[in-house]
Amino acid sequence: MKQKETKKKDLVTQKDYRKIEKLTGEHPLKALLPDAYVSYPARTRKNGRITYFNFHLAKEMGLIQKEHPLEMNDILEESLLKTFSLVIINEYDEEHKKKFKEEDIKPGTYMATRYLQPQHKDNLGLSSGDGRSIWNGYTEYKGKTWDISSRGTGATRLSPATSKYGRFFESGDPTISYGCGYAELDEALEGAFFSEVLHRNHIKTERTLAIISFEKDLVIAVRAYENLLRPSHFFRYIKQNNLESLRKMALYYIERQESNGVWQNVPREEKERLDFFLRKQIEIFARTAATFEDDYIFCWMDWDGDNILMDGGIIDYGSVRQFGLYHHGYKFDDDGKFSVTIEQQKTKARYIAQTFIQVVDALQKNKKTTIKEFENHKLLKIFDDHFEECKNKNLIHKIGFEDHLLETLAHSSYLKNFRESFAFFERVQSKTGEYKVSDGVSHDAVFCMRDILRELPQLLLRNYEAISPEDFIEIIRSSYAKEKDLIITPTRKEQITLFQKNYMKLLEKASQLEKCSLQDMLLKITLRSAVINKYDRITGDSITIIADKIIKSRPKLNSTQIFQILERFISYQDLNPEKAEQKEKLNPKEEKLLFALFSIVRDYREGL
Amino acid sequence: MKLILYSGGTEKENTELDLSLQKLLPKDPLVTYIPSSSLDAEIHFSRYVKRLKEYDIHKFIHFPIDIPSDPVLEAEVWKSDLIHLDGGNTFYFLATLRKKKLLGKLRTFVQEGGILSGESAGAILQTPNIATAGFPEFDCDENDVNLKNLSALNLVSFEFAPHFVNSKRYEEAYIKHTKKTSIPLYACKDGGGIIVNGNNLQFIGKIVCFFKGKKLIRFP
Repeated sequence: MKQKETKKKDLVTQKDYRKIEKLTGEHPLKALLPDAYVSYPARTRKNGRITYFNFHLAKEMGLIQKEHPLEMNDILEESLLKTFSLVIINEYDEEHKKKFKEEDIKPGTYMATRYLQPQHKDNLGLSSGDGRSIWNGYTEYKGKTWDISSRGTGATRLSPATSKYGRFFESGDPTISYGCGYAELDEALEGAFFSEVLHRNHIKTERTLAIISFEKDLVIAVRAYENLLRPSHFFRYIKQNNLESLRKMALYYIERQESNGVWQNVPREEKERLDFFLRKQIEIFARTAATFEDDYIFCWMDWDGDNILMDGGIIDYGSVRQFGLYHHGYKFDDDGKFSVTIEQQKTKARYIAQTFIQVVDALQKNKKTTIKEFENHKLLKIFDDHFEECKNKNLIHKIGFEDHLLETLAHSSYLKNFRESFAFFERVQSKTGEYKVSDGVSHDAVFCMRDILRELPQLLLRNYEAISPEDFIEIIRSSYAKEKDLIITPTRKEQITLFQKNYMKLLEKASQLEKCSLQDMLLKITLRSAVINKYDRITGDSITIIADKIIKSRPKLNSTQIFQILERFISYQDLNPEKAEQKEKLNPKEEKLLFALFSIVRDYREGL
Repeated sequence: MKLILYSGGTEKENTELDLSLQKLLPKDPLVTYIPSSSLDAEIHFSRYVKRLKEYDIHKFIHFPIDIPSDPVLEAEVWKSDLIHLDGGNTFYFLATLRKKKLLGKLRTFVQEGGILSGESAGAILQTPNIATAGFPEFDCDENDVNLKNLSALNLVSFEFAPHFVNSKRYEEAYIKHTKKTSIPLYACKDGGGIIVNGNNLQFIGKIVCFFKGKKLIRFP
């Protein structure tokens, strides 16, 4: 029996990994837009080990066979290292006439793409972009094209350090930290955990394909997405008034979205294609802003920022957080430059939409008009309407109603009123005021709205009577609330009444629509809401501690084990009410570690 | 005192026990579901609700105990007609109940007329101790929490071994164990269980009694 198993395993590992090894830096953008990147040769970076490999993502991308076992083998590890374990040969190396062995030089060249970055003073994107990343290339599978890039592959001329100091840096130069071009294990693991949890919960995001570790916990993090272009890739061209390249990039992007099946029925003529593109971009950023706000996702969406992809996906997890409560006083401090708050993200997203209007206008008229001219553009109403519509639908989902009720309930006046009461409590801040946190400043929110959405239907199931204001406040109070934050003022009392009245009206309406009893509707909401509004949801703080815990346990864990633990963790954080039970068991040691991770999530569930 | 001890198994296998439970309950009862751990508890809760809905039961409270509990919801728990302790790791479950000081509250709930049911780990917890969760070694829970004090709710004067399979090695393990104990051990196949109603014990399904190192009676 044992012999048979070994044979079967061998057969699978003998499959070649040619598709992985084909990733040698080739990408359609290279020929199309030579001014969109800096080209770098590269050499093999030695002594790397695979710390994490995302088998499921690799299967989705067609990089490994569907039947491939969810475990690492020597041939796969070798193939991954051969393809992704590299460091660029940069300007510093050339200036210092560094010699490398012929056999270590990679055959291809790799793009470090150019885009706007807020840290760069020129504001034109002349020297900014991928400061420590390169694009490994693209791969196609089942009608979909994926982009693959790696972070931590050496210092490029586009890093903020080169821009600031006016010179080139050696890759790995310890004197310049961020500008050295390398990445660290903690940030890579945080990104892998965070992105996979968000992806499972239908938030668009880059995903980690692999993490290669080297000495001193330095890593290369390989990431993939269906399209890695950011708005800042586009906005650089409009800033520079380079309409020719802007047009090429826009048309390239539209074609990719179309061929990937993301956009359907795209018009053929250029003018209509651009109109279509514009409408989509406006809707995307309205939806993204609404979702981030409702899921308490903090993503620095400055218009020239680099934390967001063209389709609203998250990229670069350095400053990304998910709050446990609506901490709308938190601001990230990036070397003295403060970010917007979660509440102000909408304004930034709207400005991105406005910039897309400017982009399309310039392409259609062949002439750039200043951004200010578009601040009252009629298309921005689409943004505002779509934002409101998404907010309504998000709240209906949070309550626990099934998706087919979203459309009808979204237009109910009860929902409008319920949203007001919901926001009233969600936005209450502690009387303690603003204070410094490790990476910025914050001002605590004090009420946890997930708790009331989870518990209220259970309490209403008893006799369908509203709960008292005292009980209501007791349920929503968080650990951030001090006694003085919990005073039941007449306004709060009124809002508690309205909250429950409109909640019950929505339930009644839904039960009428579903032709079921109110009791059955409440029971359904109880079950769904228990998952959607889970007590212990991840936060940015918890992800940081979890990454640390994994690093400490890592000497005893191989890449397959880290993958399995991550899979179980994601399943635990899957907020889909229809999810299936995770049957696969871990060994007792891994199970113990997993429980420790759950405990971290619980302890930090209300934090930043 | 009204207790139901389920071994486990499918909804269909437990029909007789569920019907007996329904007879013990008042009309339109309030049921609290306590999972052994909050991990995947929502899925198990959903399954339990669907099962009891078949018996015209519609009011439920989901009360995971290894996360901080809210006093408003907890107050409702003790007003329930039935509290169900679900299956899982018995050691973890007992450790959490003790840490949360819920053992005494559960005893009071039962003494005051509330019905307590439990499946597998939840059934073992109703007995004097949870020793049966720790053997036979080929089919037991891991004591990951390193629990030393195994005394449980002590609501009945017998031990309970769920998921019993008619085999020599199970029998040997229970015979060996009961040589050292003074109360009977009821080993119960899935789909079976014990109903305690006052002083009456009702055995449902296939149950084997082990007492003082002997295999004694076979029910039914």
